[in-house]
Formats: sequence, C-alpha cells, structure tokens
Amino acid sequence: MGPAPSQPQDPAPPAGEATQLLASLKRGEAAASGRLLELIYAELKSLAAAALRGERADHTLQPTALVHEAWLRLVDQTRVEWQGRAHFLGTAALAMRRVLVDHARARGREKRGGGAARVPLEGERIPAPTGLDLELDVLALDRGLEELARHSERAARVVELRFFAGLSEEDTAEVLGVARATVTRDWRAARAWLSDWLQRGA
Amino acid sequence: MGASPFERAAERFEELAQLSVEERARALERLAEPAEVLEPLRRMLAGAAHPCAALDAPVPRAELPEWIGGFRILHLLGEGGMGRVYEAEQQAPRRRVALKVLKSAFAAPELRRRFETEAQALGRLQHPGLATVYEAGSAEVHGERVAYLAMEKVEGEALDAYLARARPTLAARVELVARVADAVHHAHEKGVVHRDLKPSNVLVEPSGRPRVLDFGIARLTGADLEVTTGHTHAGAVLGTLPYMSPEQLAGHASGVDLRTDVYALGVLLHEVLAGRRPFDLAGKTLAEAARIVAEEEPAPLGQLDARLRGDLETIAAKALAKEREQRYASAAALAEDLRRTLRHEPIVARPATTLYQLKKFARRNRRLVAALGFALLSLLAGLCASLVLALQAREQSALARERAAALELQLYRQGVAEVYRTLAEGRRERAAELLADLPRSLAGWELAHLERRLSSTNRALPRHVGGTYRLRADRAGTRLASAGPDGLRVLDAGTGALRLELDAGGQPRRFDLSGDGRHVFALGWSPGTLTASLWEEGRLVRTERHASDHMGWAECAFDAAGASVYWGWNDGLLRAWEVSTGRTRFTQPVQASDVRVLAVPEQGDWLVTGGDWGDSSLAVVERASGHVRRRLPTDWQAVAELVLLGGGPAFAARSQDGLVSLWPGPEQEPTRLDANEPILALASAPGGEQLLAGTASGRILVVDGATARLVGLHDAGAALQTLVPLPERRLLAAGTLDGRIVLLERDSGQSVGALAASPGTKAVVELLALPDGRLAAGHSNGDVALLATAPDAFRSLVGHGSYVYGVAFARGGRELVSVSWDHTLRRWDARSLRELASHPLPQRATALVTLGPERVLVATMSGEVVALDLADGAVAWRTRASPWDGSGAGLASSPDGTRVAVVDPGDARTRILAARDGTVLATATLPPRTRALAWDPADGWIAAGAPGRILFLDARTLAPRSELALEGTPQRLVPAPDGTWLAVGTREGRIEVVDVASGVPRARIGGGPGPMYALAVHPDGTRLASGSEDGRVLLWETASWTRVAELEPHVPRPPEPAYRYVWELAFAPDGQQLVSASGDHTLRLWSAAAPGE
Repeated sequence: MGPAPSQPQDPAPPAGEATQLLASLKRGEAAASGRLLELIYAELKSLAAAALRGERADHTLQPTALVHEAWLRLVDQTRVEWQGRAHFLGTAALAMRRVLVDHARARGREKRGGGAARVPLEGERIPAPTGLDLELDVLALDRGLEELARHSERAARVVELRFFAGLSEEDTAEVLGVARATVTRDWRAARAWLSDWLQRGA
Repeated sequence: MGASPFERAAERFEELAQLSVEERARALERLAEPAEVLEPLRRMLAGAAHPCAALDAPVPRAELPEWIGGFRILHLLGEGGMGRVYEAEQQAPRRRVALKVLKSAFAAPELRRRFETEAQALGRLQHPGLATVYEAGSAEVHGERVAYLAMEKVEGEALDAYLARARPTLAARVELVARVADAVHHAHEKGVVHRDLKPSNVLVEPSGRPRVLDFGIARLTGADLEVTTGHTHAGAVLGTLPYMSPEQLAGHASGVDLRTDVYALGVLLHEVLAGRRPFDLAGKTLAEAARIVAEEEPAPLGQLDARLRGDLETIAAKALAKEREQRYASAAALAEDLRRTLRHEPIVARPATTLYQLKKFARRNRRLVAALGFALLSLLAGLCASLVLALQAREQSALARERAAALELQLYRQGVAEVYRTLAEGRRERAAELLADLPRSLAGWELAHLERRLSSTNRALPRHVGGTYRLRADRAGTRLASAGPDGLRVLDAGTGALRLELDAGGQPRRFDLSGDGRHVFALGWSPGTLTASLWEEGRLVRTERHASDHMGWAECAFDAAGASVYWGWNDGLLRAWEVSTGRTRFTQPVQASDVRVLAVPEQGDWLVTGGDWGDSSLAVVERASGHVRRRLPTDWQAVAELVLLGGGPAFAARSQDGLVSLWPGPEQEPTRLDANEPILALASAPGGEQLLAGTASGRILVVDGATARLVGLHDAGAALQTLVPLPERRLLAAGTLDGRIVLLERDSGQSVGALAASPGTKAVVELLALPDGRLAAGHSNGDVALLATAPDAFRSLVGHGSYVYGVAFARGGRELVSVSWDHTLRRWDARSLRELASHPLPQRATALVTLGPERVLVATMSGEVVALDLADGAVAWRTRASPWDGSGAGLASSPDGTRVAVVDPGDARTRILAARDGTVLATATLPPRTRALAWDPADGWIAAGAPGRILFLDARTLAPRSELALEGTPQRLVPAPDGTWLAVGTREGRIEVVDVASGVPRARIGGGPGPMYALAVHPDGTRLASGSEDGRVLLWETASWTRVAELEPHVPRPPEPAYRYVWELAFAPDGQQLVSASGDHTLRLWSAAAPGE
C-alpha cells in the first residue's frame, strides 16, 4: 500500500495522521485517542456507505473487511510498531459499532417518513458482520452490550472486538492486554449471556 | 485479583458447560455462589441452551464439531493465525491426537495441491524429537471443506516455560539445543524445512526430551510469506519475527532453505544460553526490525555472560551469520559442534575467517573502515586479479574475463559507496582522494556527479596550536585573519596563502580586521601584561602595554568606516584610537567591571558595551566623546554576547547563562526572549529584520527583530555553538559542539547537509560567512578551514506545500517543471535553481508529462487532465478521465511531443490526443487496472502495464501488437533510449527489465520495501535511476543490472505526515542532471555538470 498516493479523496484524508496518532498513543498522549476514533469512524462510515450502496463488488457489509481496509488506508504499515495495530483495532471496533448503530438508526428514521427524531425501539435488521446469511438486530445488540458492560466491562469489550472488528481471540487478548484464556472464557460467557438477553430481553 | 460477579459466573459457566444439560441444572443447585453470580450464570446457561446464531458469526461455529474425518473432537487446544488445534480421538488405531485444522489450506487450488504433497512429506518424518504426523486429509466441517493434520499429542511444556521453571545447567541447555538441532536435521534430510522455529514450537517433555512441533506448517499455510507480503497477523508476527533470518525478512521466500532453520536455531541457542534474543526488536517497526537483523551484529554471547565466551560464542555467531554461506551447512553440524564443547573437543567453527571478521568489523565501524576500506579493497582486488590471471592460464578465458569484470564492477560499486559515505561525513578531501582511485572503465553519471561535488575549493588553513580564538574577514572577503594561542595571521581568503604573521605581544585573545582589510587591531596577553597593537598593512602603527595581574575580559572593534578602533578591558575603560595616526581620541569609564562585549553600529553616533560580573549592564556610549549616554541595566550576572541586527540600530545581548534580550534601538526598552532553554549562540539574519538564536538542544529560534516574537523554529540536531546566515545561498550554517557544521534551508529549516573540516575535529567555535558563499570555520582544537557551501551539485528545492507528484525538464533542459498536491505548478531555473514562476492548478496534481518544450500535461486527482503553456501557465485545453486511484501516472507523450497517450482508469480506455488541442486521434480499450504507459523513443509502440502483463500497442492506431506476461503489477514503465528494453517498476517493489523485441526478461532487480514508484533512464542508456517508497534513489548499471550508487535519500519533514517516497525521477536531456520529486514536499537535484558551466 502506498502512502498518500493511495489516498485520492479531496480534501485529502490525513493519511499520515492515523500513523502519527498511533505513535502519540504509544507515548501516552491520551488526546490522540479521541482523534483516532474520529478518523477511523469517518473512514469506516464512508467505506460502509459505499458497501451498502452496492458500490463494492460483494454488496455485503463485512466489518472485518472494512476494518482491515481502513487499517490499510489510514495507516502507513511500515511505520507502525506492532503494538500500533492493537491500538488501531481496539479503536476500530468501537468505531465500527458506532457506524453500524448509526446506520441502523438512520434506516429506522427513513422508514418512519424521514425527519423523525425518535430513536426507533427496534432497529433495522442488517446482514450480520461476516456477511453470512444471518440477521441481527444491531440496535438490540448495542443495548445488550451496554447492559453487559454494566456487569463486565471487559466481557463487553471482548464482544465488541470480536464481533464488530472481527478480531481473533489472539488479537483480542493483545488489544485488551489479558491472557488468551480470559478472552476465550469471556467470549463464551458473554455470547451465551447475550443470546439469552437478545431473546428474552432484560 | 478480585473477579467481578460476572467474571466469577463466567468461570463457573466454563465448568458447567462441560456437563450435559441435565447435569448443569443439578450442578447449579449445588453451587454456593451469591445471587449476583447466579443471576448472570443462569442467563449464560439459558443462552447456551438456545444460542443466538447471529452471535456466532465472527467465528463460524464456536461449538466444537463432533467429528472431523475419522476423529472425534474432544476439545479445543488452541487457536492461532493458521487455524485451530483440537484434541481429538482417532478411532483406528484408537489414540489421542492433536488435530490441526488449517483455515487457508484450501483457499486456492494450488494451495490444495501444495497441501497434499507437503503433507505426504510430513508423514515421512519419524524422529523422537519431532511430533509425528499421523494423517493428513480433508473433511467437511459445518458445510466447509477444511484440511487437517492429525499429529502426535505431545505432553510437555513450552521451551521458554521449561527453562524458567527447571533452570537447567549450562551443559543441559547446550544438550537441549543440540537435540532440537538433531530433530531439525532429520526433517531436513527428508526435505522439509521448518521455517518457523521458535520456543513455542518446542515442547519439553517431563523426561526433559525436547519435541519440535509444527514442522512445515508455515509453508503449508503460506504463513511464512504473510509477514513479508504485509498480510500479517500482528500476534503471529510478534512471536515469529525475532526468529526470522535476514533472508526471510528481506522477503526472499525462494531463498529460504535449511540454513534458514540453522539461523533460527542460532536465535534459539542464543536465547537458551543467554536468556535473551540476539536482537531486541521490541517496539520496532517491521522495516526497522528487518534492517537491524540484516545489518547489525548481535552482542557476542561472551559479553552477556562470561561463561559463554569462546566456543559457544563462536558457534552461536556462526549459526547467526547474515550470509547463509557463512552459517553451518546443516543443523547436524551445529549439533555436533555443540556436543564438542560438552566433550571439550575443539569445535569446527572458527572464530570466523579474516575476511568475514573484516566484514563484521566493517559493519560495526563503518566510519573507520571508510577511511581504511578502499586501500584494503584495492589490496584484495590485487590478490583477486592475480587469481584471475592464474585462472585465465588454466581455464577458459571467457569465464576469467567475466569474473574480472564482476570484480571490477564490485570494486567500482564499493568505491562509489565509500565516496558517498565519506562525503556524508563531511570529509570532502578524503572523499576526493577515494574518488581519484576509482576505476574509470565503468564510470557513469554518478562518477561525474561526484567529481562535480568534490571539485569545490575547500581547503584547510594553517592550524592554530591550542585552539582557535577568533576569525575575521574583510568586507570583500579577500582577506581572512585568524588567531589562536600561537599567533595572529592574515591569509589570502581565496588561496589560503599566508600574507602576514603579526606579533600581538602575547596570545592574541581579541582582534578585529577593518572593513577594507588594511588594518588589524589586537589585544595580546602574556602573564602580567596586556598589549594593544594597531597595524596598517602589517606595519605597526601603535603599540601600548598595560600591566595587570589578570587578563579578565577585553574587546575591540573598528567602526564601519575604519576611521576609529574602540577597545576596552578589565579596567572598565573604553578607549578610542584614530586608525590613521594611532592617536588616542578618548579614554572613558563605561563599565564598573570588565568591558566584555562591544559593538559598533554601521550608522549612528553611538556604540554599545556590556560588562562582566559586578556590572552586567550595557552602556550606550557616544562615539565622539566616550560619554555614557544611556545605561541599560540587566538582571543578569554577565553579558556574554552582543549582536547588532543588520548593523544596527537594533541589537540583542545574551547573558552568560543563556538569556537573551532584544533592543529595537538605543533609546528603546528591551524585550526578553522566551526560549525555555539556554541560548548559546546569536546571529543577525541578513537584512537585520530577524534575530537567530541557537539553543543548547540544537534548536534555532527565528525571532522578529522588532517585536521579539518567535516567527520560526528550526532544528539543527546538536547543541549549537555558532550560527551564521549565508545570505547568497539562503542557508543558515550552524556550528555544533560536536564539530559539525549543519547547513539548513533558511526559510524551511530543512537540513541540506553537514560539513566537517577533518576527522576528529572539535567544537566549532568560530564561523564566518564569506561573501562568495564559503564558510570559514574555526574549531576548538585549532583547526581552521575554508569550506564550500554551494551545494549546486546536490540541492534540495523546497517550494511545494505538499507532496510533489511530477517533475520534468522543460524548455530544452534549461528549466524544471514540478507539480504538486498543493494545487501548483512551479518552474525553476535548472542551473541557478531559482523559482521562476508558480501557477495555480485547478486540482491536486498527480502526474506530469511534457508536450514539447513549451507545454505540459498535468493529470489531477479529480481525473481532469489539463494541458498548460509554460510561458504563462494558461490552460491550453483540458479533458476528463476518471478520478485518480493512487496508482500509476497513466500518461505518456510521444518523442516529438505532438501526441500524448492518456489512460482513463475508470474504463481502462486509452486515448491518443493531439498535443496541440487535445483532439482524440485514437482510442483502445485495455485490461482493467491498466495504469502505467510508456512511449517508444522511436515512436513505434506504446507499452501499457496491467496487472501481470505488458501490452504493446501501435503508437498511431493503438492496435494491439504483442503482449507479454510479467510478475506483479506495473507502477511505472520506462523504455531504453534506443527502445530495445523496457524497465517496469512494480507495486511489489521490483524492477523487471524486458527485451522489447523478444519479450524475454533481461533482469529482475530491486526488492525494496513498498512499490517502485519512479524510474528514469539516463539519455546514454547506461544508467537506470529508481525511486521507491523508502525515499531512496538508486542507480543501476544497465549492462549487468547491478546497483552502482545510492544517492542521498529523501527524508520526511515533520510535523507533516512523514512521507519520503520518491514519486518521480527525471534526467535532463543532456544527461547532466537528475531530479527527484518526493512525498517529503521537495525536489532534489543532483548535477554532474562541470563547475561554472
């Protein structure tokens, strides 16, 4: 992947910015974190929009692929430390979750005749993140995750990372800085918990 | 660790999930857990009974498959980049196995074939140190075809865990690695290379026997290639990268053989023996890590642990050799040598050969070897030449000639590299010597360029024993005076010849030279006596002695007209002498302590003095009478430096401890400069509007002379001792404490190079800009030198505000045209490098070609293609293509400049347009993703590069003529000047050279990281210049396709996005200049034109 040459949008996306933000994060500059989220959110949103408009060949929304694409587009691969990827993925999962939720809300409004400010109770069903033929109520999942986070912040993060950014257990462990076994356990428990929550509600 | 109720529930859930549904309910009853644990636990169990399928999405089915092939799955052992590992039970024969399910093995048919053949090879491996592969096959799992390997389930702990727990003795550790090597050797004998040896792939059984896992898996899954192709799994790389050999990291997948495993065994040995890896790669980028592994030598084991000195150190070093040929030829040889140390027998590995040691030495001490290297190399060359002669007598002379030619090329390359290196260190004279020794038979552009660069008039001046006090030059720059403890000299600034030696009556601590250079005034100190002397053309006009028990401070200065000289010293009195007669005009008290500093403005009737400890005030003094007109108090301890801004009236003073105040004039109030750190050097910017202040950390503050506001900030990179602007060159020269002179662009602050008089030179204490652009430098060790600063032969042009995406020579090579992402097209004089014009562009530019001498065609980001006339920047015509996608240029113009080919990236149409008005002359549809074009110099064909192939089209009709296959995606095409070959820069970072007539590949070179963006061929066809992602500009010799030189790389410009890629290169039509355009916002120009041309 080339640097600026592969970033032809106008205004030019700050192609090196994400790379530098990751470096800043490494140095412990917390302010970089918010800006990084903003950057990734914007990038994912445009990628997702293109995907949903059917501009992409596969016509499906695959968060894993989008996150990977954002990673390639925003970050100069040769100048990021290994840990940088973990930072990026951690942030990207959060951004992806927001993109999907915002999208679901927007679709809900459209259906209700536009302009309705009310957040729909039931979200739009969109294809599940892997593009498999499964459907999931993203808004319900979002609320479920919020509820789960009240029980265990970490387990909610595990779901967010695995589900919205498609991280492997290994990567998830690296992002969260916990043992792989912890991720495995959290993921199983959280998934079971959410399954019940989604079917029976609070 | 206090687990939350949910986390506690998660643990319980894990236990209960093993049970059947009925058992779960019963177990739940028996649990003695509080309600806040039971509540989420119940939910988990309920959810597990009725899982929401959508949540399984990220991993297709987290639940265990019941069967895979003939294996009953028991549970998941682990999951990694390559797939999952289950513990499973084989039915016949009934045994526990580790079942590895490989995700990507069947991603493509060729992978499937590879899997099948490799799996057979793995099945043949039978060794007590290896985990046996029982069976390989494929099976349907959840409707998906997966490949699996059933392997012996090894009970044991990972090597690193074992070492930490069992703490085996040194001998046991040596034996352990030897046994690992035995097992690896067995696999090598069966033709299987591991490629991914690391501690986590070595399990140690309770008996202490090591077992090597996952043989050949890396190749089966292509995982070993992932790291170097960028599709990498962060976690996987973390564990693997430190064990990768230089050839693996360089991406030479085909170059991986059993010696790659020997290298990994070397890393393992190093780690097992010393407790740490040879290289600390933590926190390094992949590129950095690759560089370190390729270039740096690990610390010898003996330095980490004295017990490892000697044989073990030698063995590890041999296994870890950068060049595969230097490593053990087999893992068995390594094991054998390890065991010899246990038996106290002499080992086979030698503490490297002399040559090898020399190479290692060279790698460690580049600087030193640069000085010795060439002589040494010449010696070796002599030796080899005689061998070649012997060979010639006995064997075919063709072979001998070939070898002799290769050797000569090698010598030439190394010589050129040494000249560049020496030059980069600022040792111009040494570089010139090396250059003179280079073999001329292979001379090309780079040699002419180096000669041009080294033809300057640098010269060392007579050294001052004991240090340099001061340097002064007359206004015309013809005379230079220097002083040190051994005397005061006046030299011819042009030739460096000594004109006068003056006796100042002691050490000439302070002196001044009149503007016309005819008069010298000096204050000499010998213990107990200060002598003031005035000379006219070397004739003593007046001398006067004063007694004192200490020298203290003193200062002197001529006025601009050279009518009076003013001086003062430790009695606080200011004296004025009439220069023509030597008569005293006045003697007046001005400071209560020493007169430490003194400055006489060019205009006005006043001067300024400053005092030392006891009176740190400044005094504005009447030049006619010596009366103090105004006293300027400071809260400092002493005034150390006084600088007039542009000759006055504004002046700045610096305190002993690095504080600076600025007075706009003698009547005005001062403003204090806020630098946050001590300022060590002051200088006036040309014109005097700005003050330059150099700091202890190497920053240069540019301060507005009227308001004292900071208007610029540069970084010279080392503590500054002296600072001087070079007005003619728009440069700043900064002398550092470590003896270098850093040259920076005055406006941008970008470093354009560093000068140093000679090796071992110490802090630059005096720096003087001569009107001809040269610098006079005095060092603390007494070295004095005249240095050329004119980097005419190598210039960085900073003129664009963003990435530069196109550059070309225009108007017969007299001018340069560049276009940038910053919406401008700029024209530059190719000789003086002056910017001639800047024209706005409607869009961000992405590519440029010339259409004859007076017109250019610019491709833009939006897809609009615009023809502009150079004379006025007016748009002649425009046409549309689809928006740029970041790939190749997609433009090429005919040799006569009358036609231009444009590829539309949207529909892959190519059109030929008339340069005059953009009329479409021909159209053709090309394969998708065709991006790069080249036009035959003989106007016969147009080459178009699409992924995997090059198409040749008729240059008039665009009718297809031929096509050839090519590995990779073309990014840039350039034809040979005679059209016989075509060089193709690929996105994969290589240069593929193909013979146009036959389509036969001539060479494949490169291998740099990232795409090969830029290529240019010298008009004489003997050199190809390449520019890549990493900012490097390389020159290749086109007969052997060998790299002959590496020019100064582009460097990123913080705080902008740190890009350095070279996007375009161009040789001037006369072949004398080479220009590069880069993402660092600059153009760089290298010239081989003779000086003065």
